[in-house]
Amino acid sequence: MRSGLRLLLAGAFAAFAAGAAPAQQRAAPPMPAGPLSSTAERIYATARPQLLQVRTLVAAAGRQSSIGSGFLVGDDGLAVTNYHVVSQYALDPATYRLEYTAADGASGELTLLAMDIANDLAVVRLDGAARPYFRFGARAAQGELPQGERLFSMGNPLDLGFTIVEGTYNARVQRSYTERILFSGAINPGMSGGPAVTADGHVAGINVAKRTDGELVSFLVPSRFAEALVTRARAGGVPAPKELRAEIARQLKDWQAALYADFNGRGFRAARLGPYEVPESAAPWFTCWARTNAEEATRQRAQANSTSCSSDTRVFVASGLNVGLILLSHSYVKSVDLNAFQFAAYLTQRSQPTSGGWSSRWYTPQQCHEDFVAPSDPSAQPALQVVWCARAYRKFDDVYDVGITVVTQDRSREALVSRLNLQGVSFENALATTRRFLDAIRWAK
Amino acid sequence: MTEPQIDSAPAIWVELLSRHGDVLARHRCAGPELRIGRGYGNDVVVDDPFVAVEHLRVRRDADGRLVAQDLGSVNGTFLDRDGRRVDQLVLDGEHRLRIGHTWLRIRDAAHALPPERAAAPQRRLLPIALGLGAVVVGVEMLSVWLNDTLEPRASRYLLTPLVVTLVLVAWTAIWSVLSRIFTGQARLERNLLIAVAGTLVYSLWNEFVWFFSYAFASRALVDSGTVVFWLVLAAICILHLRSISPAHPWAKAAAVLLLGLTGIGAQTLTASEGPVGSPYQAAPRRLLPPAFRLAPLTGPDAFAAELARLKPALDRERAAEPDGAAEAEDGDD
Repeated sequence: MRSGLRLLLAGAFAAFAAGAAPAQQRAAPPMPAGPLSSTAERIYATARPQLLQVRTLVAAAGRQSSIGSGFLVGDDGLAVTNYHVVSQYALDPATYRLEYTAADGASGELTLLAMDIANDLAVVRLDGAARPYFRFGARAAQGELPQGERLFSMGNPLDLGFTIVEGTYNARVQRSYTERILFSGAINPGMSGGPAVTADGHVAGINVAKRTDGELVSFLVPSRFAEALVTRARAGGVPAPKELRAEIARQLKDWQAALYADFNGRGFRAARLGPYEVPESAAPWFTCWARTNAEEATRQRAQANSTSCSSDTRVFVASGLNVGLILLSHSYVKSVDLNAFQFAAYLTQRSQPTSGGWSSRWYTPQQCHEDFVAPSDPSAQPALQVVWCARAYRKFDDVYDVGITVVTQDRSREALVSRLNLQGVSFENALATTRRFLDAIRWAK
Repeated sequence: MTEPQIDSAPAIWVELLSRHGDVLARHRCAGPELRIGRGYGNDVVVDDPFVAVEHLRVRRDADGRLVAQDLGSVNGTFLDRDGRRVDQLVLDGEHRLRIGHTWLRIRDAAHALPPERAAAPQRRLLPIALGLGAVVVGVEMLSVWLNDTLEPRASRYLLTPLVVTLVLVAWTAIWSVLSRIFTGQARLERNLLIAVAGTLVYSLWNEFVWFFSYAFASRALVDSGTVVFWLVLAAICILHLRSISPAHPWAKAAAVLLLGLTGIGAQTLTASEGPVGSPYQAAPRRLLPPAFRLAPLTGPDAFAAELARLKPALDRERAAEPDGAAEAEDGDD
């Protein structure tokens, strides 16, 4: 159904999903004059000294454990890259250190100044002689680029050497909570954090990820977020390495607060499923799929019709740890020839609480609570059997993964099995969302 | 009943015993004195190369008690399992003597014996055992049927009773053979009954646990499965051992319980150290028809309050994180 988004970080890849938002569509203006190859040639000639390869090294071994790209944005040595390029260092500064290598072979240490987890950006500083640098494009910042405009993405793919790639700007990704530019060009692991520039050499976006289930489906972080982060980095001091993790935790908490304010603000809309009314999110950044078991086997002893909606809200925190997914699913199950016990056994299989992948490195074991919950309005709602499980993130305070599994208890041979999974949510938001979710399960009028 | 007549010097019985106390041979001697040894001049001849040609003499003392006297053998004479050799001792008819590798018990013809044991009426246990066995198989098949959500297949219904029956038969056979070796009687019916009853208890308990955990929305009993399994196994073993021999009941019970507790401990330890992130992965829950719910419905507010209680537990768990030591280190510098 859905396949991963690959972060363009060589050495440490992570998969996550894509999503939604209103798109800008404009008429394409005329292409920049001149043969294309000469434009790329000209841009690369100017850009070459401004490009960096950002390497994360295992401090003890002095060898690289992952590589990405970056670019200079000022004569004070500030450079922009992706957060996921420097995340190993940010989470564990005692084990890793950061280094850069420029196209001319120069190299040195990098200092991490600022991070923006939500937009996957980081600002680093390199010491040494001032180098030429990139400017952010005003047209891109104001969203004035026409769809189809040629962009040139640069970086060091797979540690093979700095490259420049031509592609087209395709406006904002729809149905995504996080703002991303859809870039139709071949960007590859290792190019993460590199700039994508317009024909005049101004930065329009930062390479961040690509979809592995399509061709040339790549994503850029809009340049205005990088511009804002650079301004913040210039104003702030140099954070102590051991404070980085607390900063990540703080940003994560702020991010989920904003996400859930938006999610809860937009509310649920009721969808009909069999004799029940089930909640679906009204937020535009959900993608829903329906499924039925009708084709699964020759003869079904129970019918199951499901809808499943997942949000495109994931943020990268660490390799193997993407948080922020909201998953809502409902299955209406009706017995064909199962008796009440067999039907209960069938429901048992369909309603085991999930725990997702579990790694003791990131998560505590789950704590669960199970109960029969009375409806707040018994004339309009069925009684529910609810299993509510939560696990905490070991490294970040007040962030939890919560899974709710609900089975209606009003009929013996048909039932609704609903699930709500919240990843990286504060306890308070989880409780509030649970309450609203349970209250939205009703009988259809 | 006749009074023992000491004056008339009643006969003396010499019994050759096995190591386990079974009587191998019994000799009646007119007395008043008798000799035991390997030589044919003795009253009782013992074919044991570790016994002297003339090993032991038994006579009556002035009070009419039987007294055994070693006749200067190399290997000596011992009382029961006592390691000290004795030259002369008064016999009470209860304790055994050992000469060489031979066990003896020497009794007066007037030796007092316990009264006749009242025989329990002979009951056929087989019908009960087979009846319970049918219940066990029935419970298993019912469970298969009630949980069958796939297309019905006869094989699923045949396999379960077959496996249960085979296990019960094998188990019963092992204990019957042991019983036959140690007591000479297989006691097949009794051993079968014990095994079947134990299996039934365990299987009913399991069904009850699932009923309970659904009816009261409680997982309090879910982890009891292992404990009950080992306790039932221990109880079965104790009953089997008792049926072989009622001797040393406490020692046997203690040994078996110790084994059972070790089993519980080992399994609990394995479970607690296993890589399970969710209690529902360790023991998936089971649903029943809504009519089986016994717990009252919880109001939304009370439910939310229950959920809020999980937070301190989770936060404690986080505080006890594996790299907590590393964090403390960070705090120091």
